[in-house]
Amino acid sequence: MSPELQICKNCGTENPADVLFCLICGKDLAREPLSDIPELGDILAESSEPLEKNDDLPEFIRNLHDEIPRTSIRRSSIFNESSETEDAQPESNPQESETFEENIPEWLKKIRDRAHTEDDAAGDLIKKVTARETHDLKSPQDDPSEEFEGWLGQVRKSAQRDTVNFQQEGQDDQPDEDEIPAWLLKVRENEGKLMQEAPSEEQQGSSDPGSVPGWVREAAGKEDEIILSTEPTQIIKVKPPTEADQPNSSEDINQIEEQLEEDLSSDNTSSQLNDVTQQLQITSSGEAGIPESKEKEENVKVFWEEIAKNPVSAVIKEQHSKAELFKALLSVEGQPIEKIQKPEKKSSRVIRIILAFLLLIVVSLPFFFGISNDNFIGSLPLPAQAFLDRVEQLGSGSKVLLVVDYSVGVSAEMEHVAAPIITHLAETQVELAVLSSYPEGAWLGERLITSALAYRPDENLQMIVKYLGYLPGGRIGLYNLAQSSQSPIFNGFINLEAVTEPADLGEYDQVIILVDSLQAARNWIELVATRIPEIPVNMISSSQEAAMLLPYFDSGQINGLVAGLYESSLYQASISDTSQTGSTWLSYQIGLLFMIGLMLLGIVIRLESSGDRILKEIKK
Amino acid sequence: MNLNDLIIGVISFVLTVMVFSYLFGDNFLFRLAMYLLIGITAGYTASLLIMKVLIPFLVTPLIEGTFQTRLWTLIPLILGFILLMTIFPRMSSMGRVPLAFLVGLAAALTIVGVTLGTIIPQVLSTINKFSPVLLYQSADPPWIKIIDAIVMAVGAISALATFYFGRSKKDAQKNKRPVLVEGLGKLGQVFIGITLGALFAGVYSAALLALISRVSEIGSFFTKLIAQ
Repeated sequence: MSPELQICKNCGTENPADVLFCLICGKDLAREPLSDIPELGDILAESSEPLEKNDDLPEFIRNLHDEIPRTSIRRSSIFNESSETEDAQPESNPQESETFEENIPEWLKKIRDRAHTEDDAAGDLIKKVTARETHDLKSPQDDPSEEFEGWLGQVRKSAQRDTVNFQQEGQDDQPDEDEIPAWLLKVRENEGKLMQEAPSEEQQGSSDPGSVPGWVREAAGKEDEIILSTEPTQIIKVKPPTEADQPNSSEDINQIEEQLEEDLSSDNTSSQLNDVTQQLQITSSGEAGIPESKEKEENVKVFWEEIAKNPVSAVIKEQHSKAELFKALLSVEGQPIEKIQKPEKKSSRVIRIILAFLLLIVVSLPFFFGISNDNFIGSLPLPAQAFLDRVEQLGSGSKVLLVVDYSVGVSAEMEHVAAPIITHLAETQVELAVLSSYPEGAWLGERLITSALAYRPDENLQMIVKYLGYLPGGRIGLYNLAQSSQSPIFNGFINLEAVTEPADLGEYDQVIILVDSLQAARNWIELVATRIPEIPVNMISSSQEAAMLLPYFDSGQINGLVAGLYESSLYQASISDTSQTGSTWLSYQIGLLFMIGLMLLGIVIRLESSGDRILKEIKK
Repeated sequence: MNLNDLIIGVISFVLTVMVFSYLFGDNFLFRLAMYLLIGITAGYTASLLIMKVLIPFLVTPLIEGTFQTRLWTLIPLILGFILLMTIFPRMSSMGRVPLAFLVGLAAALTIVGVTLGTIIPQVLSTINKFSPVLLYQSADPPWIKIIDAIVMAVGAISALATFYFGRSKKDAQKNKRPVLVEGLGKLGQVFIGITLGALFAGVYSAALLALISRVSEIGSFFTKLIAQ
């Protein structure tokens, strides 16, 4: 026989070493009389005494208690005959136990067999359940208070064993992350997301308050913090552990449990639990999560003394706190977390306002003082020169389709960039048709033409403009437009009198597309321009998208490109028109210089502050 | 200056000041201006879609169109109605039919458009830059064109290599790309960085021009107001 096995004195069954009750008959398997153990003697004496009626129990313990009969009933239905046998003779002999074994399911047999052969095979839960069921089977019709008392005895012994183990461990044990249970890691993980900042003093906590495993110590530390930080009066006061103070009767236990029930059910419980979360948030950022101050060390000691004195109440209270903590965490799971923003420094706001007003004044000067710069440096870039050449090829009465595909946000830039080209087209006396695939493009087109012609009011420029409005459908609409001259179905469907028909693309001598984004430009190039290779397609874009559109000019997919105010100004100078953008151009130049200066200044300040910080760290 | 110009000018000035108030931090005036912009844009878009799309393309053909036109119009009407059912959770699965139609059509157009409109022409353009005819056709010296072509080709290939994340077959155990791809990828990051820098500069440029435009218009408004 293996020395790890223990034989039941009642039925003779071999049981694993660490089970408390016989797996077959449920008899207590304590290898030595518990009364011989000084720490357990009194407690076991209490546990052997039956509790009073169920009505005397606290509510939450009664709830636990109520579950036991249900288990017994279920178990009885499975093993009906055996139960009856057991009922008739609670102290059954080994032969009757063998009869019972014949009726148990195969899977349970396997588990028990394996538990006999391998000590680790039976998990803690299975062992407890087996012991519990066996115990239930033994006397399912007994007074439930006895069953509960058995359960309570297990809890007491378990807690007492833990306490003894804690005391055996060395005082210098540091908290080990490996010992932290999964539930606490999960709490840390979740709470770490919630936590934005933790007090630095809390992060430094690393003292060793006791001789307990790291995770227990940590949990205990939090438990202790909760109690003492919120309602000190609710601590179960610990006196020196004398014999007189030991609970030696079921009445004493009930008294303690009632007190505990009151503590837990008091109105302050929720506030305590909120503090649990807060404390976890704070301590989870630290390495050890153990409070550093002496006061907290003492609190931890008080907690463990409490456990030593009254393990049942302490353990139940701790479990209750954990359960409530998880409940609180689950309640906030998935809820939006308010982002904690650092308050902006007043000085930085003042600097920002000053710089903004300075920029405003700088760019306003050319307009207020009527200063302009018409001497544009540089020659027209190749794409813009190609654009100019294409426009100059147009004659009076040529039809041009102007596509206005930009949003309101860049309308200021686009109007400035397009103005010289619109006036150039007006000078040429072309017939312009304005179309947009943007909803707001319909009125932006009208505004563009009006503002462009208003640049030269003296010359009274006039142009035949036909507003075709909005082309719905996005890419599909563009494809439809490109196909309209080829497909009679599309053409016949769209050519209703009520519809503003953008007409056949083949009617136009040139297409000019104003775009503010690469996507809009690609839509027109890919879906329209490739299907009308005989019609020149030119583009006007914001300076932001110029870099992305140049490859399309290189590949010949667009025939000309004017991008940004600089190229537009050069275009204007090329057609000897100096009436429009002189002040704007000067203001733009000054503004750019100002912003470049600000950027350089910011870089210098940043480098200096970084250098100072590094130097301080080196000195430290 | 007539009354309309005066009202528009005052509203424009007030809204501009409200937006500039963001300099003092997020405040009610700034938010009000933003809400106005969003609300007006949404309202305008909705009214435009009703007036320019639904009525002329759906309602009018159904009422005034021929029998054939009405049949054609029934298709988008039914599909639109089914799509509307997605607002009811029980019938939301019905909305997959028109959505599938739209997504499929858009995907087909995108694939065809990108292939025929961007990939093939751009690849051909990169290759054609090495064509002797084009090299000697330009007024610039040929070596400049050659350098231009090489830079273009290297930039395109290295930028593509940046986004290649395949593992080397020789050293499959090491999670590293092939040496050539790794080197090209690093070079491609330089090209991508330059491109993104140019785009970022464009954002500054656009913002500055928007500011200049507002200043110019407000200045013009007050000049006219004072002149009267």
